[in-house]
Amino acid sequence: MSEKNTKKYWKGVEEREFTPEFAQTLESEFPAKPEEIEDFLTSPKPKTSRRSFLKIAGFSVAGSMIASCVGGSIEKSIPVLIKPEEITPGKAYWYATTCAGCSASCGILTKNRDGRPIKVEGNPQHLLSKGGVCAVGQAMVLGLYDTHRLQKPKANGQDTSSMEIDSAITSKLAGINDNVYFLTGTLSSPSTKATIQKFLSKYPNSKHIEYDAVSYSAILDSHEINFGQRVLPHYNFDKADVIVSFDADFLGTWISPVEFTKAYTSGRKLEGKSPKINKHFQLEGRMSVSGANADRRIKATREEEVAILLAIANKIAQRSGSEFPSWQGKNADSKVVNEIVDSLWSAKGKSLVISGINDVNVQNVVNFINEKLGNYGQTLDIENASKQWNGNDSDVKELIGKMKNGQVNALFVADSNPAYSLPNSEEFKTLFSKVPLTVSFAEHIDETSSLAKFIISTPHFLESWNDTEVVSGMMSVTQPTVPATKENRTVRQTLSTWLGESTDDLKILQNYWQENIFSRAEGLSTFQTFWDNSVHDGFVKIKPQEPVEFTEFALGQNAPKVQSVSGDSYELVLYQKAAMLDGKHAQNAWLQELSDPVTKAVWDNYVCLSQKTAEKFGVVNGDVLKVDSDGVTVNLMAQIQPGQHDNVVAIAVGYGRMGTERFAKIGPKWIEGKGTLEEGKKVGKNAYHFTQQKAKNISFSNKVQLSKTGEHRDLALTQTHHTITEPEKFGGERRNMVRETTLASYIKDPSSGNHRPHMTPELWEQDFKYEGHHWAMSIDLGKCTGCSACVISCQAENNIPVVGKDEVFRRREMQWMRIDRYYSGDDGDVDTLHQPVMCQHCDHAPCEGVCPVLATVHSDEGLNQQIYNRCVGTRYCANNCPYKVRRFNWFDYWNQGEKENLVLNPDITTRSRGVMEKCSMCVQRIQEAKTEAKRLNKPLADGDIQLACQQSCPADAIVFGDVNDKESVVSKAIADARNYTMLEEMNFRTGVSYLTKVRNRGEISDDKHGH
Amino acid sequence: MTNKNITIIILIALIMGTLIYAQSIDINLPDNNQGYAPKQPINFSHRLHAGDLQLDCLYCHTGADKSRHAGVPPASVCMNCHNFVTAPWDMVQLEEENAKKENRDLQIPVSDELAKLYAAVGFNTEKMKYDESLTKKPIEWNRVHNIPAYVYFDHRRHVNAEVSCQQCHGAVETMETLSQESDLSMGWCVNCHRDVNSGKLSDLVGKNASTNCAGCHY
Repeated sequence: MSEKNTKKYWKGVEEREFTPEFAQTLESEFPAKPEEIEDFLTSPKPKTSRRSFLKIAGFSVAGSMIASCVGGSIEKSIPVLIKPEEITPGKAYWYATTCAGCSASCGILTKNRDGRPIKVEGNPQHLLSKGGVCAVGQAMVLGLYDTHRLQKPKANGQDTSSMEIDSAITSKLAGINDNVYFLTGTLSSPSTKATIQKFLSKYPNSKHIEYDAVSYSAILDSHEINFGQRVLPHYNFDKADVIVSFDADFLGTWISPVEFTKAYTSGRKLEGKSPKINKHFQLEGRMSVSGANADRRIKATREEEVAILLAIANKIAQRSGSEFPSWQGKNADSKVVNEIVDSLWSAKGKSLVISGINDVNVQNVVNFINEKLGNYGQTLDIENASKQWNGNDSDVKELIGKMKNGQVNALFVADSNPAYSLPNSEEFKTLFSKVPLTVSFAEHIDETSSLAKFIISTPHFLESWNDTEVVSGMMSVTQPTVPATKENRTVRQTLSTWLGESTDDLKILQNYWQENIFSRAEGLSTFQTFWDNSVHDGFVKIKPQEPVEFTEFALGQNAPKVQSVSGDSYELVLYQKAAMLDGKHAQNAWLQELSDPVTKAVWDNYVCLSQKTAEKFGVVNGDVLKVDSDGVTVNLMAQIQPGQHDNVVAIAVGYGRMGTERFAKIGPKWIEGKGTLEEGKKVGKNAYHFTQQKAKNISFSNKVQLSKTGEHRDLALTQTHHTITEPEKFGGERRNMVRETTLASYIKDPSSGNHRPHMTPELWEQDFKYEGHHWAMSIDLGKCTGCSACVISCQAENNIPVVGKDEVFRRREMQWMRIDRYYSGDDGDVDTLHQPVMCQHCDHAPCEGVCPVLATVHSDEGLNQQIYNRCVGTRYCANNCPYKVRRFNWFDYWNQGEKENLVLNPDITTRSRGVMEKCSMCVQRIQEAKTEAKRLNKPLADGDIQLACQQSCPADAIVFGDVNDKESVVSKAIADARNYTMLEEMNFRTGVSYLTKVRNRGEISDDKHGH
Repeated sequence: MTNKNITIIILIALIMGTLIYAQSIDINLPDNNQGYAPKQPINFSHRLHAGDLQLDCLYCHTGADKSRHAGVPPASVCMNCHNFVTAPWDMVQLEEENAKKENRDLQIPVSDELAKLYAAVGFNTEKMKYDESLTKKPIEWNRVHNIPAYVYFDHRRHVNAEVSCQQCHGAVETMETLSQESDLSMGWCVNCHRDVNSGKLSDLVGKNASTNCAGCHY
């Protein structure tokens, strides 16, 4: 007996329409078959003769026999001469430090084994990130072992030494009297900032300019107009009952997504009889991670967004009895406006309006609404402002003006790549080469550093000291987890050397802290204790800086104006992908192969457009479109995105980076294998060319024309890989893997939307009794945002290889975890759901029965075990797995002797060719925790075992534990009325279960329970 | 019977014969290194240290009760004693006698094997002091016990469950040169685990030894 929901979920348009190509993919677990064998076995006249087939077969048998008889060579055991007291070989030790993946600066812990970091985890004590880390943060540890990182400084393209480059630069500086400029990304390190100031103070008319590739400048600029101080508010999403976001992807990439996700999901706990959760409105033209999670998503172009924003401001002004100019946009949907205004007004002081539009006049109106709602001091804190992003677009504009006039005598660039990301990057390149002295502080040869006369090679953040004032009064400390090469120096250290001061980076930092930070310490202690505690914890709370004077709120004078699109022009929205961000980490293979949370594409950027727009141009996924904005053109593949506004197209920035040519040959090398890229090509195309330098800010939207080029390049989409839909010949029944309901329905009946199947009585009543531990996992779909941090965490923990684009086309990606993204509804208004899927650890596992060699068996703790050295690679298990979570090693992906191999986790095997693998529920972590508990002679407590995916989840969506312990968090989650398992009617008794998603909507959800 | 079939039968017989012969003359099957006793860079005697001097195993192999690896001791551990002990007792006595006979000052006798240790850590035996100017070089021991691939053996679990070291490593305290006592095969591991669970091992009654695959393989 099956249930039928009226709601249909689909992963892609092809699944909803059930296209013949899609039906084909359901036919077999593995799409490509080895041609030779297939041909030999089935064709009446095979290409390969019987004789040569037997020859090959015989040779393999003989070869493997000879290989197995060769005795092992002598293996050396080389202990250290003098063992540091705290280090025991084989034991992990942890360092608290601060992530520098982006400038949000989350607190992290690095797991060190044998003197090197192998894994990044969240620091649960950190005041902002609270134990969460995003995918980028997780991937940083791979960047440490990047062979392309600079090891030595360079002068005019030649390797040199620190001593030589110092004397060359200082002798050049001796001839410069003034106009020295320092261009950096947001610099929230007070000690580095102070050193730069000290250095620049020797030269009159000099300036330190901060510039962010993806800029938040307008938010800061608008606060300068409104409150007299250029600050970025610290947003408290946990205090917000109503959140209205105008194109700000705060759960994906905006400002500090990990911190915001933690806070956001903390406001979505379903507790008590009539729970209250926050209400999230998202207005956007493209589909973002935040939009996918919104309770109410409104499709709008930027012009429409501004019209709605102005209408809201007007109504809020009326209700609060304050003045608002007669600014108006075109065609604001009054129903939407009233709905939002009512929600906001009922949550005065507990609401938050944000906008991702980098336009000072738009932000001005946003601030007005927040001010009139009394949100300042509640959900937005400007007294203890955020220092996460501090870029100033106008300063950069001014700098370029000065460069044009030849007024810049020396330009130092650090942690910034203007030659790649500026709107007028070509112009910048010519001007940059004309500056008499150019020095770049860089980890890689990039677009900017390749043009600089001198490159000072800087260390990776995991091998250097640093401090970060993330939010006023919150210092985060970065400490080295591994020693840096001597020739790599930080900006602070280099400048200090040039100033003739200390050359020891730690000493410079400590001196700065002793003079400036220690005086702000809370409580009495010596400096050494204060320092030691700060380094140990990774952060320290100190007294905020001297309070700044804010002026009375004053509204800016200019009405927001946004370009309008109509007819044959489209609004182009430039966005960041959760994995690639602004493009800084484009050389990280883990991030390139991470499926985008929304589009599920890897190894490329593309043009997202709606189904209707695609039909208008007659294009399908992968057809190349020419995107043209007044002569700036880029040719990119089309990606049809459900939920996209018909007049909006979106392209991700961060692609087309110099250095990504290295990925041309990534992946296994075999006869039919193709490179990920053509030789010499880069991954994706640079979309920063479409940004525009406006009067005050850089605009990340543009007006473009589209045209079809007739070319076609396939997009590597993982969205319909591992689909659980039945093939048509078996009935083609669609079982919904995801379940959702509305808050109103949930309050009426907590199990709404969660129809448990009517189980037939068991034939086998005497089932196995799990007497010791019985491990289980529960994933809350209501909390999961789809951010994909868990996927990279799993990849790092479990030694999962990168396979390259060509193998992804063959559905051979190796990640043990995937996040299925489902849509429901039609193209226009879709609801999106994310569902992390890994091995479900069925107690009645279909894979276990079919393995002819018993390589996959069940443990008495409820784990489905995969034993690599038993596996002979029949792949029967993968064919029989209903959840499609098994991954086969088609090749030996690991190459001996590569420096990147240092990132491998020594606690787990690297699997070789011909072996099946899948999620083990981090059995190495379970074993470690059990062993430690036994060693210390204490019981294993709930929460002692933290799986890799669970530990760093910014949304706390994943819980794991022992179901035999009735008090454990996971037992409680399983007892919840929202709990369900995938394909429950099949009685697989999975160890992984899910909780229904609850959207904060007033209507009673319409799906009916049918039989 | 065709020629082909005869060839196949002869081939099979040959292979079987080789295998049986290999067993009878005590050649180990691939990956079984039972009895392996490589020559070490320093002629270290477990018989002397663990047997005669009765040093506790954990004194040198400090990781055994707290880490997966028991650990080969760093040279600094040797130097705890060999800071003072530079030669066997008879060598010291001989030097004393000779010095008396030749009526000269006592020289510090250094045995050939310990000289290698001092060279490694940069210890000047004339001054009985570490000499920073000497180059240090870690000692490259030859690994005796090498577990096959894909297995994660954890010393700390066994040591804390009061499994004696000799249970697996044999009577180390009698070995002049260390050799591999057990064959370290999976059958050998699992048999012991089963014996523990069934109470056959009197000193480990009441302990629970896992026989789950993922107890060792992951």
